[in-house]
Amino acid sequence: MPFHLSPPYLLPIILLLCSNLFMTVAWYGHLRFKEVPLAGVILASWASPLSNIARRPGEPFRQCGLFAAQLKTMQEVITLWCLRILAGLLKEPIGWNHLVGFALISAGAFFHFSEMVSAPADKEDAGIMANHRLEAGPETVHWGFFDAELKPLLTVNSGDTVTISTVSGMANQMPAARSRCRPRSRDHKSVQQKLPGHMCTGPVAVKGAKAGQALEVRIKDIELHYDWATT
Amino acid sequence: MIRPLAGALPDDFDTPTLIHIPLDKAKNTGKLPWVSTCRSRPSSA
Repeated sequence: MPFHLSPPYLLPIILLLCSNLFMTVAWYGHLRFKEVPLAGVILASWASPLSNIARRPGEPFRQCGLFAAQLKTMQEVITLWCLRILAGLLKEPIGWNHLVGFALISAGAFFHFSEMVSAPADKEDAGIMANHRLEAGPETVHWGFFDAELKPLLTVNSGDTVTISTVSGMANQMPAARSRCRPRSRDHKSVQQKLPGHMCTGPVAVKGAKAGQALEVRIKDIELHYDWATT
Repeated sequence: MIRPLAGALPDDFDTPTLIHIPLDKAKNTGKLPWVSTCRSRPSSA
């Protein structure tokens, strides 16, 4: 992305406003400015496809975390308000039916942006997935237990990727000093073993997941950190 | 730690045994004493 605005939703809104103002003037401007030669109107109309290119749900918009449907809704609402402003400039009357129509369209836009529609699974299909990292440490490792009552250290959307580092082996299982990569002893000193078992880093919560649902986790890769393992 | 009759066959280990497995980070492999070199990768990959 050539530049970044915060919040990310701002960029599409600004671009849509610019393109819609331009398009509205190009299409309907000649109604107000009848003295402008026809050639000028045609040129302005030809320029409108360029603004359409800017409105397409391309890669920069995807990086803003928007769906094509949301972009389209956003565009329709902005277009209608631009037209309403133009109608005001043209001194066209506005009735209660227009106001109700705008209210209903705005309500439709609200539902398009609600969590009910933009479910996490849809984001996975749309390829909007984030990468997270969770490092093993005294605050993140649980030794011998891993309970659902633990507070999540990370909450992710379905389809996101999480890289988790782990601690291996108890203090009396450490390899000889010749090992080039011994684990950090502070982890073993500060993490308390509560039950017999493994050292687990986490937990990670999946947004929207409910008790009783099946969770599919794909292990994409295993990268070795130490030059030893134990069994 | 491999303990007799805890994840091991009856005659494989008589006493609790601790084995260190050398890992090759570049090749992503481990050298287990009872098999040849074992590659570290997800089973589904």
